[in-house]
Amino acid sequence: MTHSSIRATLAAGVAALLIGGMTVSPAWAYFTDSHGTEGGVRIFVEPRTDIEEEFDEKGKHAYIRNTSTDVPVYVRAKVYTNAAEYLGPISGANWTSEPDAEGWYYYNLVLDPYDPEDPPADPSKCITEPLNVVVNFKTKETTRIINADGTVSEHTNIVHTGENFNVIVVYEAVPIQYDDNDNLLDPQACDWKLAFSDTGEGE
Amino acid sequence: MKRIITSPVVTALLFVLAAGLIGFGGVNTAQAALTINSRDFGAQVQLASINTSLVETNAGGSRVVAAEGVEVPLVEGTLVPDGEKFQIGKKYQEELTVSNDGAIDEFVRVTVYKYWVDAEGNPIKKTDLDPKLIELEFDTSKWTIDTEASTEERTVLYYQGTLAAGDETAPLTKSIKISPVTLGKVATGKYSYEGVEFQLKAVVDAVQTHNGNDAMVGAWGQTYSQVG
Repeated sequence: MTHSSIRATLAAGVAALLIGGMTVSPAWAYFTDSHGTEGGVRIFVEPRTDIEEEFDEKGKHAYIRNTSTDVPVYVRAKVYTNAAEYLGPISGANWTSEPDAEGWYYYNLVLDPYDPEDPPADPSKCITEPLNVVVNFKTKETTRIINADGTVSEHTNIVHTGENFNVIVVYEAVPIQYDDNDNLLDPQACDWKLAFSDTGEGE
Repeated sequence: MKRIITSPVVTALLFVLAAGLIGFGGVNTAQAALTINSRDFGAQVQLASINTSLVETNAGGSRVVAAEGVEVPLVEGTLVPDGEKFQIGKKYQEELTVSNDGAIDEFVRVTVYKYWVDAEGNPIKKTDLDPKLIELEFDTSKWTIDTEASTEERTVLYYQGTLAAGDETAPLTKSIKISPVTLGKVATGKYSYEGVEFQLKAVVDAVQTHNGNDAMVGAWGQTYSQVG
């Protein structure tokens, strides 16, 4: 073969290679569609409550108010004193009549949140009925008197104790809770480890 | 003979003959032909269109939340019944379905995201809060969860089979609840979840069923049959 024919053959071979190597893969297009959106809800978990106390001749009366704007709560209360002998019964409407083993009295109703910008229809549901702690401020003193004629008579006087002592109401609040079937739990069945505690104090 | 052919008379005669031939040739001939026309037949050619929308159903009713030209926030203002406040630990209805509004059948998948954001000012994702406490209940009767692609924050679901044009899927979600664990405090006495916002995000993807496997691999990287 001559040089020119060899060159021509080589050139043809290179051209063939180039043509084969430049094959374009087919491009496919498919029908697709895509859409999305997002959104959220703000949550509030912190129970905010406050205690109000009144005193009168009968004893101490404690009211617990839900001051949260968004969180309905259950509350429970316990009474401490350094003069238990002067305490009478502890009771109140919608409060449990007997304390549990740890001395807690439970309010049986949900305390609704109070939002001043959107007040509830019944604000009385935001505060408990009073928990009444009877305090015996006075005691009876019986005096035996020997009369001039030798007879003995007894006189009983009601006197103030004259002592100062403390009656402290401690309370806890916990957001209302539900079971797995979406049923509202009773106050005693709630997890009180999640509770927020506060104290009212008076003497 | 030659004198006859070349004579002026013959020449004139030939000239007249030629003129006559030209004149006749210029006259269009009228013809009558038997013709028959059928009645008009119409044919409509429609280009195949794929169109998908995401539908949300909860206490606020049912609405399209994502579609062509539509983007409506999920859950905001609709999750809780009127007059109520959102409560921790309570289940709320939250159903998401997909509607095929196009002209062709399609394969469908939905990617759902759930996470916490700080709602004060510009929402900032709170990566220190646990997305598992956003308890979104899925309905897997007609949907398959891609467990390999899913995380605590993201769940990918494929609709089982094809969604015919004009049809709507069964719900892929049933309800949403925020776990009571969010009520707990941290050791410093602060409530970690106080005032934060849980976010839901859903993205629906659809692909044609014609050459469906190739279409799914091309668009999604895998076929429906490879899931689960």
